[in-house]
Amino acid sequence: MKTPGFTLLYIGGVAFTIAFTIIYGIILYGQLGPVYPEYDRNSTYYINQLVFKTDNMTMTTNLGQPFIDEFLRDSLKSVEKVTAIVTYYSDYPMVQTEGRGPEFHIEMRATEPSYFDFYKFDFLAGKPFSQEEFEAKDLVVAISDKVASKLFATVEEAVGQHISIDHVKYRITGVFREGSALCPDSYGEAFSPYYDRIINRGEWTDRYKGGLRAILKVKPGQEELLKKELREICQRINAVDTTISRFYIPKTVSHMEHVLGNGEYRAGDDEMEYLVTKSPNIFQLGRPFIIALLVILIIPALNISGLIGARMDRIRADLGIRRCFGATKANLLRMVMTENLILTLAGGILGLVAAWLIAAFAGSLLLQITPLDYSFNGSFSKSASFLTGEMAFAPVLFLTVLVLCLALNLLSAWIPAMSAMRRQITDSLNSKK
Amino acid sequence: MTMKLIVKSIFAHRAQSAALFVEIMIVTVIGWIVLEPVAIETSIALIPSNYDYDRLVSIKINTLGKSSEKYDPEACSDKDAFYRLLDMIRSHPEVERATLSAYQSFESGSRAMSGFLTDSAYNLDADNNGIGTNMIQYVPSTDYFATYGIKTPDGKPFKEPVATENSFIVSETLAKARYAKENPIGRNLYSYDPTADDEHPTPIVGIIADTPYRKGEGRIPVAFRIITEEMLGWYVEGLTVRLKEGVNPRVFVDNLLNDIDHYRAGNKYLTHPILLSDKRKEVSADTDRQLTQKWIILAFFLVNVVLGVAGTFYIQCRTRTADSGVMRAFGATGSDIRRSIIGEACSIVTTAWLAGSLLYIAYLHIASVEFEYDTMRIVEILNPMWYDAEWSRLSIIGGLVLILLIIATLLGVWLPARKISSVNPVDALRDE
Repeated sequence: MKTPGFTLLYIGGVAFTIAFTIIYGIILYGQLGPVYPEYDRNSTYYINQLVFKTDNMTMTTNLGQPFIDEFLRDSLKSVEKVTAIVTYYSDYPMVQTEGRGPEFHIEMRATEPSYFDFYKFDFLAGKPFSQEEFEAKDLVVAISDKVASKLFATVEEAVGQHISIDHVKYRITGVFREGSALCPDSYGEAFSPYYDRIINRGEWTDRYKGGLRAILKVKPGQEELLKKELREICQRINAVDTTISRFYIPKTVSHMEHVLGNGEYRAGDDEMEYLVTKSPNIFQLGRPFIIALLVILIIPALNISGLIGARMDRIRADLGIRRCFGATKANLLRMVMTENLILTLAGGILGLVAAWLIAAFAGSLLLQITPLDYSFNGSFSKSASFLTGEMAFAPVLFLTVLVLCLALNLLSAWIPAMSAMRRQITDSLNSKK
Repeated sequence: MTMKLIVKSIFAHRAQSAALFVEIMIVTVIGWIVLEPVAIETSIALIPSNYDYDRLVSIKINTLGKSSEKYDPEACSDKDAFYRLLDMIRSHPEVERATLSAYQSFESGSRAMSGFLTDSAYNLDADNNGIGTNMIQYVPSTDYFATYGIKTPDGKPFKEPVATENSFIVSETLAKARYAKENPIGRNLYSYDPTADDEHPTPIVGIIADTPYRKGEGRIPVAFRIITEEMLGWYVEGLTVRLKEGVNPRVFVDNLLNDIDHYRAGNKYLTHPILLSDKRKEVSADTDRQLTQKWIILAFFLVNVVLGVAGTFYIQCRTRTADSGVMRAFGATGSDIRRSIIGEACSIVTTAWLAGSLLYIAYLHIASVEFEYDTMRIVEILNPMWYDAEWSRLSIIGGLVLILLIIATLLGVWLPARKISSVNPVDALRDE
């Protein structure tokens, strides 16, 4: 504290870097970590598309419900659970309030009852629509607590009432706690059976093709078996169905690949092979982020290194005196590194607090800086939450701050400290004019 | 003399100067990577629209599902429903004009493109003698051009000509691309792709001033084609409304949302009114977000430059204060000392910028990095922009990077320079 200018610049520089990095960390954690209601992301896989080739045409489509029922549901040994959801965000549905205020937009997703077994939604009142209601093609819907509070006095009151969406009246079966729009696979303000949205419109009743994507929960350690089973499905279909010259499933991706892949890797001519051998690993997918993190760390490290270098020049004489009195180079190095680590940790804590404040007061603005845009295939309503408490206060973030501080400390203080230690005692003493 | 002092001072603090040099070199390279797309995309986004979208509101027309209680199997035809809805909105007291708009219309998320042959007078080779065009559909005699306020190339309101299914109204660049010297009206456009279904020649019946199809679409021309009555149900997406002068568009949209249940005809109804300026932002949201990300990343590195420069010079205050005391004792003024310190910082920054820029340009050439914003050759000839030529692009982007670095440096060095230069020479010499 003898040099407040140095301390201020040092802590400020570290805090700025840590805050910037942690904000990215919070967003990344929200998209990759186990957060509500997607607690099983480690074992979640997605099948988004099927490809059919004939002699003169290649057709890529989403999945039909018959395909999911016949080939995926209850027939894959490697899979514990299967669910399906309509791939696209709906065509801007509006809620009619019948004189209780202006019409408003909601994000409505079309799915099936197994979806609520797959993702662990908290139902605050009522329950999801049932298999019986789904099969009876009832007009039912589960709505979020935020939508319920716009229309009804309490969430309990909403259950059993009707809501008019695009002039169709749906009976509300339950009210769930709304998730984060940062988790697009589970985000929605209303969920209804896809019978109404798709099947009733006469779309996609083909055996294979449809408007769905399948979401699978793979049993532990069964990822390779899943790929083998999917390849067998392709071979079976290719052997039996003579109307197509080649059928394959081009992308079966883990949650990590789904997020980090960002649609950049695409199947070429060898899609079958791709399925088996060419799935990118985490290091390939994460490379841009690792490079970005290194660049983000190197610049402040250079800054801090410059600061420490200048400070070393000033305390060189003191170091010389200590060495005269028997302090070893290791003692002095430990002293300098510890002192810097304390300052770095102070900066780290300040940065973490700043990141939380920014997340609390400018949560949706933060999404402007996320490089992960796989989630933004819809226009979210203005009330959508993005960053939640469980993302901002995840223990892994504290660990990240600690690791970043150590990395910054090592990157910035080691070289100037070592260089100062290498000097002769007499040179050091002589530097005190 | 000042230069000599600066060089001596940089050498005396070479360790810190080197750290700063490396940092600024890296920031220069990042600056090039970030600023090029930012500057070019901002220029593209700033290309003005040839219509006034401030008082325009877009309203979707939806169809009642069969599961709706309001669904009427005996309802009127789509065509009748569209025209009735159009009449209903036109009778709104705050509406000046209204028209039917198609999925492929201004500020739409989707688009359809066609390619046309250019005039042989431009001497373009086979790979470059086409011009891609954004196609727009419109319903004739519904006030489409007047509602959008589309203008002719000389700035007058465009009057809708009589058009048939097989005729085009085109923007100026497309007309010039096909007819370099002759008057294009009444003459034909030819498809660039000889295997295309519409290879037959199509006459031009009107020319409008150039305008982007949507924000960020740049200099790609547009061509309008009519929607025939039997195809209305397939192509019409909604209505576009021009409000009267003085009407607050946001209040209009809010009021309409309260009252929108009344706008129903047959099985069609109005929904989701939105200001066209908001729709414009929605459509370009992804591009805008990527630009913002780039700005934020650049801001992060520039703040680091400020901190780096401030740190380097602030920490040297004590040693420099003594030097400054000596200089002042020998007659140097405070501003001389400040100039010398700022000169020193700027010298490091400029040299690092030069090294970083050379490194980046060498990388571009060695790795044969393709220019991402290449456009059609004919568009570059008819409507050139500053980034088309490599030399002007490199000079402007390089200049912008240097300006930003200098601003960051001045911000960082200002306080330490003031502190050092304001010292009393007697105090400084006594400390010595």
